[in-house]
Amino acid sequence: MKRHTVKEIQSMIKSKSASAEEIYELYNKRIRQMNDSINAFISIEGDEFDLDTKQADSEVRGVPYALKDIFCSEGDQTTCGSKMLSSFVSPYDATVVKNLREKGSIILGKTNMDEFAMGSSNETSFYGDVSNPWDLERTPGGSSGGSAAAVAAGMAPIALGTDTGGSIRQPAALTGITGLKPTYGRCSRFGMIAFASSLDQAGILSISAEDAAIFLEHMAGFDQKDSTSSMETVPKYTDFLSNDLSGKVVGLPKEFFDGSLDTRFQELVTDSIHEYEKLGLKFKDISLPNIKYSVPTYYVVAPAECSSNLARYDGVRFGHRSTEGNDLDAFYKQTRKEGFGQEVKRRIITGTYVLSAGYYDAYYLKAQKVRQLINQDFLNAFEEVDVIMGPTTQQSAFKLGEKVDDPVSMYMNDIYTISSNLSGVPAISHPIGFVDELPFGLQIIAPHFKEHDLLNITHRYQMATDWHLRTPEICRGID
Amino acid sequence: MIEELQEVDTGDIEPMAHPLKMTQRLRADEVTEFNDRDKYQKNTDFAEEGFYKVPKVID
Amino acid sequence: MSWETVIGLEIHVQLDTNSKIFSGASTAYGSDQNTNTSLIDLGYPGVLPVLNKEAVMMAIKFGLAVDAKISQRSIFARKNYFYPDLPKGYQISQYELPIVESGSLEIELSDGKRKDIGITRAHLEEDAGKSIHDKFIDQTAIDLNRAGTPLLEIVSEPDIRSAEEASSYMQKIHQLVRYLKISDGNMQEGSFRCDANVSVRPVGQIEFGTRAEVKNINSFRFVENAINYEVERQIDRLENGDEIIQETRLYDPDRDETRPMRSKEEANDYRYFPDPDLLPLEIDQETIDKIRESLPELFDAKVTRYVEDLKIKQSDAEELSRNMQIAEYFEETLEGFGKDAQLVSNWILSEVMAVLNRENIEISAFQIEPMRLASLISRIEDNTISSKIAKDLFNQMLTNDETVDEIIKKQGLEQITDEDSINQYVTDVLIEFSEQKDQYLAGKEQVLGFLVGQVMKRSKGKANPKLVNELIVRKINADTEK
Repeated sequence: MKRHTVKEIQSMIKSKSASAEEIYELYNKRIRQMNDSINAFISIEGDEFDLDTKQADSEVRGVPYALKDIFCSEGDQTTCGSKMLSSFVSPYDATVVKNLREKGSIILGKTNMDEFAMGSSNETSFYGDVSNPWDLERTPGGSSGGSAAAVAAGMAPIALGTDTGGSIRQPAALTGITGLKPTYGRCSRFGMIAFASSLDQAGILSISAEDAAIFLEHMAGFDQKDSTSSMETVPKYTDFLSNDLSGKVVGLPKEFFDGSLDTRFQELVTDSIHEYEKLGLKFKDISLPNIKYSVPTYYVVAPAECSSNLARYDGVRFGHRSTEGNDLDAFYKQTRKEGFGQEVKRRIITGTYVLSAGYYDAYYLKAQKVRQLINQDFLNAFEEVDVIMGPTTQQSAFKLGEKVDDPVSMYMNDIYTISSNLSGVPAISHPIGFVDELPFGLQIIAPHFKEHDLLNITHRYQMATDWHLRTPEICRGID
Repeated sequence: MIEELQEVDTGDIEPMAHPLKMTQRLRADEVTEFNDRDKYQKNTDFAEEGFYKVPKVID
Repeated sequence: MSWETVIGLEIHVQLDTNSKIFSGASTAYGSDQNTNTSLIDLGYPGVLPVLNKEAVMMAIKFGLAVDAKISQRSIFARKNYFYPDLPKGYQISQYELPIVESGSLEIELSDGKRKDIGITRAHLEEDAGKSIHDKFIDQTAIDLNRAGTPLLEIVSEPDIRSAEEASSYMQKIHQLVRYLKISDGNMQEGSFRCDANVSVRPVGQIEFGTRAEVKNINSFRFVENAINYEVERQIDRLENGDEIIQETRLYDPDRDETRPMRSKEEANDYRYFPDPDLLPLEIDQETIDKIRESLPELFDAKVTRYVEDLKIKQSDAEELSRNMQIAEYFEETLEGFGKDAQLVSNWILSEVMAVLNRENIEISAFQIEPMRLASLISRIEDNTISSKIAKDLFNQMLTNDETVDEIIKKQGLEQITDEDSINQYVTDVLIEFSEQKDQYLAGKEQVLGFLVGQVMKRSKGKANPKLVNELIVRKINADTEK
C-alpha cells in the first residue's frame, strides 16, 4: 500500500492522473477492509460521492480527510465517543469543517476517540478500543486515537483531531505520524464539542509536516462565532517549509531530560538532535522550573471546566435520555449515569469538587495561578531560544488494558505535552525512530503563533530522514 | 496528586484564565438566527407541540 | 420589643435588545414556543457565546444614571445548577467583577421626605427559559424562547426600611429603565421582576437578622403586601421564640401570603468560576463618556426644569414627567403652541389622559399628534373658539383627520364675540328666567352661572363665556337702573 500524502493527492488531481472520486473510492475501500481490526472509525460516510465543482481553485479540493467525532458535521452522527451522543445527528458544521468543506475537502468518516476526549489511550470510547496499526494489541494513544490510527494505516491521508493535554501529539508519537497542536485560538472552537474550553484546540494528524501546513492554511483563522478565536493573520505556512534552519536555537529543558526516559528512547532523541545539528540548529540547555506542576494543574483546571461543559447533557433536547426515573431528579441522575462512562464521571466529580465552595481558592484559583507561572517559564525560555525540544511521550505504545485500572499512571503519560496546552503555545510531534518496532516521537514547542517555525523545522528533518514514511505491516497487501 | 499545588509559592500572581491577552469582542445587536425548531427537534423523541418535555417538576 | 425592618431588593430587568445576549436569535415576546431559539440558546454540543454590544451599552447607561462606578474590566462567570429550563446546566452571569458597582438612587416618600437607597451592583446575565406545568398531564413543558434574553440584575443595599420605601424604590427603578429606554418594564410579560430580601431585627441591634427571600413579586402593590406579610410573619416567629429559616419563599397574591418554595435554586453552591468561553470585558473611558453624553434628561432634572423654566405647578410637572413619552408629547405640543405651558399641561393631564385611560392605550397610540393639539390650544388662546367648543372639537379630532381650522370652518364653530348677537340671547334668557334674575338681584350670586349656562346653550356653546358673563351683569344692572 502507498500512504499518499496530501501533496501527492494534490498533484494527482491537478495532473488528472486520478480523479477526486477515484481517490475517495480508494480510501473508502481501505476503510472497509481495515476498520474491523483497527476500529479507527465510528462512522463512515455514505457511498455517494459529492463534490461541488465550484471549488476548482482550492488547493485542498478533492482531498479526503478523517474527522475526529468530536467535531460537529452537518447531517452526520456526531458521538464524541459517547453513549450520551450515540443518537445525535448534528444540525450544523463546526467552523473548521465548514472551512474545509467550502474549499472542497471531503470527510471520509468520523473517527473513534476517548469519550469526550478524556483519555490517553482510546480505551474509554463507547465504541470500543482502537488498535495501534503497528501492533493491534497496543493502544494508538488518545484521545485522537482513531484519527492517528486512520492516518498511520493509510485509511485516510490526513485527519483532524483535538488536543487538550496532548491528545494529538501523543497518539501521533505512538503511531509514527506527525501531529500538530496549533496555538490556542488559532483555529475556531465553534462546533468542536467542548471538554476544557481554555485548553482545547483543533489540530492535524498527517504523514508529513508539509501536509499539515497545507491543511492548516485552510482550517485556521478568525471566527466571529468564537469569542476566544484569534485575529492573527493566517500566513501561508507552505511558504516557510524550506527555510534554512541555521541560526535557530533550540532549548532542551533539563526537566525533560532528567534521566527518567528509558535509554533506548533517549538514544533516539539524541540521534534526532544530531540530525538537527547537521541541519544547522544550535542547542542550549534551559530550565522550565514549574513544569513539574503542569500535571496537577491540568488535572484541576481541565476537570473543573469539563464538569461545567458537560452539564448540558441531560437528555432534554438531544442525546441519550433514560426512560427510568419518574421525577426530575431521578431523570437527570439516570440519564447521566447511563450515558457517561467511568472516566468521564470521574472527571466530572473531580471538577465539581475543585470548584465547590471552600475549595475554589485552594484548587481552581491556585491552579490558574500556577498556570501563569508555567506560561511565564515558556516566555522566559523563548527569550533565549527559538523553539524547545524533548520527547513527546515517556514510552512507546503500551498494551491495551495495561493502564486502565491505574488512572494516575495514565495521567502521567501527559507530562511532556500538557504544559503547552496550559500556556497555549503551539507544538508538534514527529517520528524519530523505532524501539522494538514501535514508533517514538520528538516534540517541538514554539512561541505563540509560530506554527511556521514548527512546520519548517519538521519539514527539513523529514526531507533528510524517512521515519515518517515507514508503513506498518498491516498495510501490506492492501491497495 | 493535586495537593502538590499547595507547595507552589504563587504570591501576587494573577490567575491565568486565558492563554491569550485578548478581550471580549462585541457583536452588533442584530437578529441573525431564525426559526429552525423542526430541524432541531428532530434530535429528540420527546418534543410535543413544539415544547420539550421532562418529568413533572413540583415547585 | 420594637422591631426594625431591613429590606434589600433584587430587580431583574429584561433589556430591550433585538437579539439575545449571547446569540443572534430574536428576543420578541409572545412567539410560538421554541421558535426564537438558536443552537446557542439550546446549549447544543460545540456552541459558543458571543456578547451583544447593545446589552453592554444599556448596562452602562443604567450605571451612569445611578451615579455608579462602571467597571472598565468585568468578567462573566458561570453559575452552575441543573434545571430543565437552563439548557447549558449553567447560567452565564457576572460574579466577582460586575459591570456596575456602587450607585445610589434617591426616592421620595409620601411625607415628602427624600432618602438615598444604595445600589450595591448591577450585572449582566442571561435569562432562563420557561417551565409550563399545566400543559401536559405527567410532564412539564419547556419553552426556551426566553433563554438567553439579556437581563440586568440590580441589587440594592439593605437600606430599605419599610414596605413603602420598597415600593417607592421599585417604582423609581421602573421609571428609570423606561426613561433610559433600556427596558419596557412590562411586569405582566416578565420584563421587570422583583425579589425582596426581608429580615427584621430589634431596634438598636447592629447585626442583621436572618433573611428570607421573597419571589414572584410583579407589581408595586404586591411588593408592599408581600413585605408586610413577611415582616409580620417573622416578628411573630421571633416573638414566639422560633428562629427564622433562611429560605426562599413565594408570594401568593391570591392569598396574600408567602410560602416556602421548593426551589430549583436550593443548592446553595453554584460553583462560580470565570466562563472560559468569554474573555474579560474591557470598556474604555471614551465609550463611557460618549454614553454619558447621550443620557436623556432624567426625571428629577425634568421636573425642576418644568417648574422653574416653564412655570408649571410642581404636582403637574411630576405627573407629566412620570412617563418619558408623555413628557415628550407635552414638549412637542408646547413647541407647536409656543406660549402658556400650564395650559398645555392642563389639556394633557385632563383631556388626553382621559382618552388614554378610557381606551387603555399608550401615548404612542394616541390619535392626535402634538402639532394638532397645539393648533387646537392656539385657537382657544386666540379666542377663535370657546373652551367648551374646544372640548367637543377635541373628541372629534380622535376620529377626524382634518386640520383644526378646517373643522372650525366647516362646522361654523367660531366663537361669538360680537356683543349685539350675545345681547340678543341675554335678553331672551333674562325674560325667560326672570325668577333667577330676581334671585341674582336679591344677592344670590351663584345664579349667574346658571344664566350664563343658558346663554351658552342658546348660542350652541359658541358664545364667549367671559363676555356672556359680563354682558348679563351689565344688562341686569342696566335694567334695574331704569
